[in-house]
Amino acid sequence: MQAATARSGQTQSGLDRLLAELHALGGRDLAVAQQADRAAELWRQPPRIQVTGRAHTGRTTVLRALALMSAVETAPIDEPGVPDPELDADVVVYVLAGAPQPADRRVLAALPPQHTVVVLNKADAIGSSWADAVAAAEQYGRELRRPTLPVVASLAARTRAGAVTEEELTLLRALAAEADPTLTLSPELFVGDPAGPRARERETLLRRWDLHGIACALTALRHDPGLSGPALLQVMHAASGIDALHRLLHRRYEQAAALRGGDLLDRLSRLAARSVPEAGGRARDLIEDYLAGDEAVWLGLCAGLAHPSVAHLAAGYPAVHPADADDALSRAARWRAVVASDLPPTARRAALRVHNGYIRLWGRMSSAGL
Amino acid sequence: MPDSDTDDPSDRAAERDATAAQAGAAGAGDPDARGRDPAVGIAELEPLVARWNPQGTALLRALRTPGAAADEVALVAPAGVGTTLLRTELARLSPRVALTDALTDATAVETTLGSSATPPAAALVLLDAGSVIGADAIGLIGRLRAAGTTVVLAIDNIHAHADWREVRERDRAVLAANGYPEADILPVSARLAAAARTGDSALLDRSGLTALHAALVTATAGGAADDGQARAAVLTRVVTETRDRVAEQMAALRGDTEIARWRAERAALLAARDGGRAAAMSTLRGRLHLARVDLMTETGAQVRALHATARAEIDRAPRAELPDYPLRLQQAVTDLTAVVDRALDHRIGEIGRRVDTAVPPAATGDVRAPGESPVVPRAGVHGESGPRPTEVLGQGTEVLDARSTPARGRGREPAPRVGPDPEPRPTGVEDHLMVALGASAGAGLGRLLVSPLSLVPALEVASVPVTLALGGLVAWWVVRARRQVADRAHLRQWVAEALVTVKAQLEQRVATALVETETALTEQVMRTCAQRVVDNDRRVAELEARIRRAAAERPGQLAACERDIALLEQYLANRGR
Repeated sequence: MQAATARSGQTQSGLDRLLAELHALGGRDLAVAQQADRAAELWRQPPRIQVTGRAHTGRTTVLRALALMSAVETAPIDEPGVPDPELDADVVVYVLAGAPQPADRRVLAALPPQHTVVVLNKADAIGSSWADAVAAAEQYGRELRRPTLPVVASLAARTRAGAVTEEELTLLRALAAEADPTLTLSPELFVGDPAGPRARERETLLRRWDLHGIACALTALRHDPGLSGPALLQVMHAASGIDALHRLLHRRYEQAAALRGGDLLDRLSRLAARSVPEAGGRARDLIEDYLAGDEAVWLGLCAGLAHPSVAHLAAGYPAVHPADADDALSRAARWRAVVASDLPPTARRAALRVHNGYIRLWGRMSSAGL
Repeated sequence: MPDSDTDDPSDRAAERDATAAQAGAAGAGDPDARGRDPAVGIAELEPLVARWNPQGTALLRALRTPGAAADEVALVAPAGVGTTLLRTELARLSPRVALTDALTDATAVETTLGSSATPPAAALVLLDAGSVIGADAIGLIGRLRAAGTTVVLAIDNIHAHADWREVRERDRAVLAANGYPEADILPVSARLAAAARTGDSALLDRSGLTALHAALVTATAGGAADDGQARAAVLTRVVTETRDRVAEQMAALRGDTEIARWRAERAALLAARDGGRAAAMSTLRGRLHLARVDLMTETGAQVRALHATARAEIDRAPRAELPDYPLRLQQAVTDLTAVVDRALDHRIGEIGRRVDTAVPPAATGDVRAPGESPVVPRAGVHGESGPRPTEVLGQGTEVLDARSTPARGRGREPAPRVGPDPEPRPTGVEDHLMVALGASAGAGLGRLLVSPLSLVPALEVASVPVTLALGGLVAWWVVRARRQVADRAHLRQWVAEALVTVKAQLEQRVATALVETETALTEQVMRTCAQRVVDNDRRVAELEARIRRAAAERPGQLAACERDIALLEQYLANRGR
């Protein structure tokens, strides 16, 4: 996505130029300039993220594990006597802790799927192994028709900062040598009576790494007793499942940002259509010049690819930017076919934007336009 | 709602110990209870079973409760692997409680309630320990209650959530706030029950499954209560289970594992009787010696280096700068002191850390056997509650930590002075000698130069003043050169003497700081160790008391257990006939 960020930098400057020029026109076009300002302002606001879920599902822990600056935690869903919080962010992270309850289904059904990420938190509590948790997450994802990811946020929040010390490693090796199957069944058993005099150390270990982390570390150590502290930390971090969530969230965030670019183009087009060029007003010309420019076409391409009705068609692309001119042309031809198909109008409009974008890229890459 | 005598599964292990003690006490008062009545009735067994197997008693009580015919229990739970496991585990217990398919939400419940003319007599509402009860579930419970159904509430998966007690309390609070203050929530874990299949009754108690089963049997008003045979089977099972539990307890008593563990702990504590003081002190002393030697050597080297630099500077400096040189030397000494202080702080910090590792501060108050490494991360020493922000110095990568910053007033102590400025060099006989030598040499030179002039008679008059002038000039130059050399030598001498003083003062500074550190750290070690010795002694006394008590009570407890087993077996044999 470096190309995208580089281009968005250019776009910003192009947009700035447009705004400055509109303001310079003055007179009757001042109203148009103000509306364009408003559209640009809406576009520049960063996408918002909300983390929500029922009470005690671990919203705060998920937020801490994700370490996102822009995310906000909402009030709990399905609280007796309290109305559900308003979920209007660009990306909503919905936290489940176990099977979805009727209230979860109700709230999720009202959320747009492309803006929602469902997190099955406390996944270590489901079934007897991680496979059960993955199967459950897949099943819930099918039922809710939204991607659902199993995560142990409490462990991820711990592996985010911290290192396995030498003492902990020694204790873990000693525990791995014991073959008691009920050892990591429950936190209470882990520090309970049979732990004997070492209960305090185990308690510290449990507080530091969570039972799921300890169980994973023990399994890893049984396979390879020579593992080092950092390697163990890596194992535990991978076992928390937070990375997959990060990736999905990142993709959703980018989509939300791209869709905002599409909104900006829509607003500017409407503005251009409304500002009738009478008595020498040049606002319309300026806006249309901008809309026909490379920056706006690139924004349109990104927005079209991110549009939920056609996003699945772009799934095979390794990057938004085509590899070379031939690639751009073949992509454009494919999207041309989508435009001509009998998809709903919004999808066709998105496909048209993608098509135009690739044609422009092809032109630039092959110098055919010159 | 069922009676909540089996409230918290994790308390049961303690309960069972208490049970064994009670059994011992009861047995001591009633030596031959078994000889009197060969045909033991269930009424006599009741208190015995209640003591050993509270869930079994609850089940028996449930069986006696008269009620409607057996009915299916509506299971309200999310469909999932946990629910399936719970069904499986419940199905293994008799009398069998028939459960409907899992009703996942309110609409399913409505359908079930609406379809049959009579609503189900009981419903098991399974909550998850992972999240707090919501408005939907409250509404559902309300509807079930309104339909006249007995609602049994349980939270599942307590094994996986360490904070299930908190969740249960919050659930209860929510229920109470919504008009069900009497509602009880049974904690249960199907996974623990599955793990207890190996015959671990403590684990089974912890899982809470039997309590849930008893509650369900109560709720369905007797299950198969009208069926005498089934009832007898349950009775036999409960009695058999109780006997197994008594036998388990006896094995534990005979096995002595508990006492062996206490003994091992006591031995470990006795071995570490001085609380690790000797080791810590020797560490401290060794480290301090090493630090002293290192620091002295380093100080010496630094002063020598400074001396060499000073000599070179004096030789090179223009004459005008020489009077200011003492000031510059003082500056250099101040800088050197800062370097020495920094090295000193670094070393002291290191020693403090070493001592901390050897003797963790008493704040944690825990007792450890020797050879075990401390797990608790090092807290601040000198009464600080946490690590203070560290400071990185410009030079090198030394990091100062809290203890090494001058808390002992060393930093306020000024750097050593180089002493008074050099006294003016006394003019000695050499200076006069130089004047004479210079003058005579100048005169000789003058004469040599003016000798050609004498050939010209007209210029002969000028030869005398020129000779005198040249003689004076050369004398002045020789004297000046001599004074410069002597001044530099004088300054060098002064620097050498001043630096000797500075070195002595710096060494004294190092020694003082190390002694102060030694005092402070020794005091800390003493305090920590004293605390640990007290803790150790208390723990040893406690262990000894426990071992003695166990040894004294064991025969009585064993006898009581044997008596209980005999009673139970007699009952079983009677039934078998």
